[in-house]
Amino acid sequence: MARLIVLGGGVAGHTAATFAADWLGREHEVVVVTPNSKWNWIPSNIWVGVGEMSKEEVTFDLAPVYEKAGITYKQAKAVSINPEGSASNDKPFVTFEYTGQGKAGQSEEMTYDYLINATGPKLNFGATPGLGDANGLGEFTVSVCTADHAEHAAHELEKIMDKMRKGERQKILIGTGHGMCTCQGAAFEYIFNVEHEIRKAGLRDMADIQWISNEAFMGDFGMGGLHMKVGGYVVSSRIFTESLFAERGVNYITGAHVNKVEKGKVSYELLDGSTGEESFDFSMLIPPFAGVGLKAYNKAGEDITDTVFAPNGFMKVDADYTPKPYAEWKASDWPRTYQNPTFKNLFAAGIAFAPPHIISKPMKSPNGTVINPTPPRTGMPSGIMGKAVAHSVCDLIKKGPDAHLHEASMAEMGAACVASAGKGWLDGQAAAMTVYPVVPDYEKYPGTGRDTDYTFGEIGLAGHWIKHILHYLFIYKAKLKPFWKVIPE
Amino acid sequence: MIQPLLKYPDPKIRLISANVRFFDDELHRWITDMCDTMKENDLDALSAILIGIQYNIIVLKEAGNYTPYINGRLIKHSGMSTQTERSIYYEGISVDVDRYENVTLIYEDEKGEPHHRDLGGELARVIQQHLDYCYGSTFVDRVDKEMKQRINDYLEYGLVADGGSCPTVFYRDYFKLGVKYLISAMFLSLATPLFVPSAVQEWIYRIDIMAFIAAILLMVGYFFYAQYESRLYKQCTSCQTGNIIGTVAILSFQLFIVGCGIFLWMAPK
Repeated sequence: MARLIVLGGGVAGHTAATFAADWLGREHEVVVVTPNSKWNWIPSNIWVGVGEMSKEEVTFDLAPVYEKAGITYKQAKAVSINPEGSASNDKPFVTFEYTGQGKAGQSEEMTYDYLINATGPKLNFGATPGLGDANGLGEFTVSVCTADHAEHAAHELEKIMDKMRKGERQKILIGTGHGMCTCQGAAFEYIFNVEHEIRKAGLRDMADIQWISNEAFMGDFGMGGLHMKVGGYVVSSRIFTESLFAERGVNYITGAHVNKVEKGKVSYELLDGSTGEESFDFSMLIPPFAGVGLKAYNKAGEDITDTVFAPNGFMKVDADYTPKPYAEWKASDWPRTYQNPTFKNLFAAGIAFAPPHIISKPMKSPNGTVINPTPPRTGMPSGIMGKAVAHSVCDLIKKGPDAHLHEASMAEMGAACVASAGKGWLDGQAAAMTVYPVVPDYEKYPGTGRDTDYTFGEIGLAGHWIKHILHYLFIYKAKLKPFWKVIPE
Repeated sequence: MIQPLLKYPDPKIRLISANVRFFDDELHRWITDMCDTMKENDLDALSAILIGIQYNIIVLKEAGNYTPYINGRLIKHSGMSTQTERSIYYEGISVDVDRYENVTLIYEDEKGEPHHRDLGGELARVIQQHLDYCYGSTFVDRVDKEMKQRINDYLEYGLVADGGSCPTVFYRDYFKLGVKYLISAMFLSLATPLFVPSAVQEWIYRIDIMAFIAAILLMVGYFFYAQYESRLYKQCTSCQTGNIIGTVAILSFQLFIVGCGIFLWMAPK
């Protein structure tokens, strides 16, 4: 009997664990170690953040689902990995610390045959002074990265809407809180959902809404831009995004690294080296992501974190990490199997793997500050990676160590992003943008590295419905209800 | 070498330009071609895509000097004003477009060195216009829907684009919309026998019959009103009568399908 441990229960981890449990059956053990008691469909947190959905609607308890799937569930936070085992035991093991199940604070070691690291990101609020600290979100801004944060954001939003009702003009600032953030899409959705709610409440003329982002151009989204088909021809996400902002009366600053947050004020540096300040009454700034800070030790107990993890805390996989200039980036630099090069029974999926480089064009201000989005690897790509990695591990267990590993390169997958711009069955709006491949393949598609014929959807009410249907569909799938396997990632 | 300029309706204008990654001889050749083409056509600015090169390069002519701006992005802006613009791509059209009065452009020179520059006035407008070409877009994407429709009509039918002669909304379309709503509602009602009690279903069946009759009346109304309206706006589209007959035929077919569904499936047994 082999044991697979999955660290993390997000999109990638949950997908990997549930598929592995199904494929391996009862003769092998699948363990999930995740500090959360609930599963959260993160894309819908946007709607929690404007009070259109409750926290309960976007989360569910993991324990019963794992019980049904025959997965051993440890509500605990992984602390370290010993891929070579210890002096007394040759078997590799992980150490984790319980956060629930009545054992909070207790440490436990558990051996594994295979390990999938899908811990997701640490929300690195500490990277920008004032945005937060090592403990998390600070007091000046809000976030929609977790369901709890989103609930808090909705509460704060309600407060400023009350002020608007009393006739006080309010300034809203939404965007990224650091020069190296990813997930601009979430902030983008949030700003339009906030705008939509305020307009619906009849308060639009009482609010100044401002966007601030580390993207060099509007609609970059960390991928160097996407495209969509409108009326038969392809439109770049920049043109589309700029017209959406103009139409909704939202002003924007791009190429900005927020370097300090104070009460009611942010300071930033722009790509031209100039600095500026922006005041706010309500602000949602996305924090940068970092690895969760897992440690690794060798047999002798010496720290080998550098061997297993990249400096940013994400796990090294089969990518080409040699530093290269932008001109030499290749699609083949990107990982295919997500297997750790040193320890072949270690895999990473989702945000937890270290990307070889960014996707957008690298940018620096004249002062040397790096201001460019880091690669997004959430949602659809995460699920696909999780499934591929689970498939590989199952084959390794069932067919032996020579089994062919399954591949899911981000340079070979497309991503469809349905960005909500307001919730409502009749007046909702969402834009469907697509990109193929996620990582540009300059050899296959000379020039942009992308295939612009690959498109899907347009902006409008239908887009909103798709987004809303996806919400139910994915929660249904994650709960492993009947036919969950036929729902794509 | 002088290159031909991209003109309407060449679809290449919709290509999204790539970032320049190699600052090599080929790039310098492209820039030379752009400068030559600008001299020949007496242009003050040119995007590479306008001579068919799908890379983010803009050459500006200032005081007799030609300077390339590579991988340009706008990071700051202020002020907004409306001015009449012309486009190299669309000959003979001028459109009022809102643009920022001041912008900050970050870009690279022909050696790949990063720079930034604050631009104002006419230059700011020109760089915004040419950056749009780099992103597969023209000023048509920067005007409101009504204006966009007018430009498209003008391009397609060669009529005066100053409005007035053609309404943006034909009243006959409301008839069409009404029929479409009725057909959709009837179509949706086809699912009701699966879950409503038969008494309720009988009511739905009756409503469907009424909707069916209403749809037919609306279509007859559409047919005659549309004929009347098309005589009012003879100049507007090429073959309105054909369109009207076509529309009626399509709607009749849809109604026939839904009607079959209602009579065969919904009728109380």
